[in-house]
Amino acid sequence: MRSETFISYKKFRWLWITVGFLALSGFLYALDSPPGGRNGGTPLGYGLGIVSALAVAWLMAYGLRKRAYSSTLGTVEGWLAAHVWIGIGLLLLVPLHAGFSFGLNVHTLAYVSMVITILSGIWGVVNYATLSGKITAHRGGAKDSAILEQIHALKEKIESVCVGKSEKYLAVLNRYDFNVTPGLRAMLRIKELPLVDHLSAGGMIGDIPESERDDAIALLGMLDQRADLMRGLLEQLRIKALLKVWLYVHVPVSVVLCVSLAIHILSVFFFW
Amino acid sequence: MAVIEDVPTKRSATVTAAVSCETIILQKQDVLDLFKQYPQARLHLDRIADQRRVHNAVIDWSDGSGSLLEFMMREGLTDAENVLLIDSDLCIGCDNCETACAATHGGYSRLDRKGGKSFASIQIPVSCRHCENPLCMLDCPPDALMRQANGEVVIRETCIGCGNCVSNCPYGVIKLVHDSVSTGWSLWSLLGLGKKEKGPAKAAKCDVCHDLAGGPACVRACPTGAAMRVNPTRLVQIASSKRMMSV
Repeated sequence: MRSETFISYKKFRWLWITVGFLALSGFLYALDSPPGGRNGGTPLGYGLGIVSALAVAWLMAYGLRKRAYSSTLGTVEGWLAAHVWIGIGLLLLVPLHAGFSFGLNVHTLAYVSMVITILSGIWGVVNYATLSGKITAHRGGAKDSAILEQIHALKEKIESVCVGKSEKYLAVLNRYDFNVTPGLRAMLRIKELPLVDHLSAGGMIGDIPESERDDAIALLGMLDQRADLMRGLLEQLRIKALLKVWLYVHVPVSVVLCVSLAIHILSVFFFW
Repeated sequence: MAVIEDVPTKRSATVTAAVSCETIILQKQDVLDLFKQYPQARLHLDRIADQRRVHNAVIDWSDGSGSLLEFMMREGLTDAENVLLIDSDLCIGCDNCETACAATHGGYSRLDRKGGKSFASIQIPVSCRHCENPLCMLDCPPDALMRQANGEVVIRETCIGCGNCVSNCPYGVIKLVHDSVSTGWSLWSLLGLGKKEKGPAKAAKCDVCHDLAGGPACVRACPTGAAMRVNPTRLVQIASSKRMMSV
């Protein structure tokens, strides 16, 4: 419905601010030729380092702003837009600060943890952009619990039409029945849930005693509906999981980033 | 339009009252006689009628906002002054809107995001829409419900928790809530950790966060901008401009 998203917030305001700052930093970096080569210890290196550290602090503050529900300091959407674009900008700003010198040390650990945090964040943004509309699209936005209730009701009906039936009839049930507990394993195997294919189901109906055929046709309809509902439910759960799972990387690694960044700053000031 | 046209044509519009109202019947001949006295008024109305014909043709071909209007009628949105909408193309289901509402209203959320009906990518959560004709205001013994100058309906402290508004609201957006009250003074109570017990029940519903400077907390807390509070006429404008398809 809305044409603007948090990515394009205020006509990409935060993208342009980030690009502008990166262009300025790149320009200064290209002009800089300090004795001993470019590194984080030069005046420009220190300057870019301070800006980068402040940017990381701002990105971390997003978590606080998101939970400051009475705050009038901008909207969470605006903060998220800044969080995304400034975060992506840091991928280049930090190497400019360090003069593109990396090694096996705590300084590079801070950068690597930052890269992992940002890449997981980009994964989250892609998931938000591609999956958000699909949550409510399924079944007109019916709640999971309502779909589950329908599935249980169908199961009971299916059981009731299978009492005292012939072996051929029960073969139809066995062919299309399934027993699934919604969970990770089930989400990865959604397509294995058997929908009724009319061709082979039609063949099975022919083998069933005539007195049971009407019930068998109804049974097939219910089995197909149950599988379809379960597929939809699992798909919803899969989407909801994908909208959250990246945070299990993003947040813990951002804590590693904070710790390693603090060590990086302290070691630079006191032990360099 | 049928009244002002000299030649009878196929009616292109119908009117359904969303709330109780009074109607007047105009005889066509009386209107035409009146226009003879005021030809300028006739010209003005003819121009509006032409614009309406074009608008109707656009709606006929777009197959969009017409259905939206039906949805709005069905859901009582035409009686709303200020309705909470969720753009489900943007909603990530984080429930930050509900959390924000609860956090700013004593721990009880006045909106149910998953509840309510959907049309295309518009979802109407269960939340007060500040009706033009608020049925909740009827039968309130202490007259606790009041409409503010900007049209918003709020519940005052004088509420006695009788539940009449809860029963009268056709959209189920008002609930009776027990506030927690401190049992007495203690060192812990200074830290907000003192003993609390259930206070008397009071009616609670969305107050559009009228005491918050930044506006509704649910809207401001939405990370993707999916939540918005709008006047339903704005919804029709959006649908018309976007040629929103029916589902």
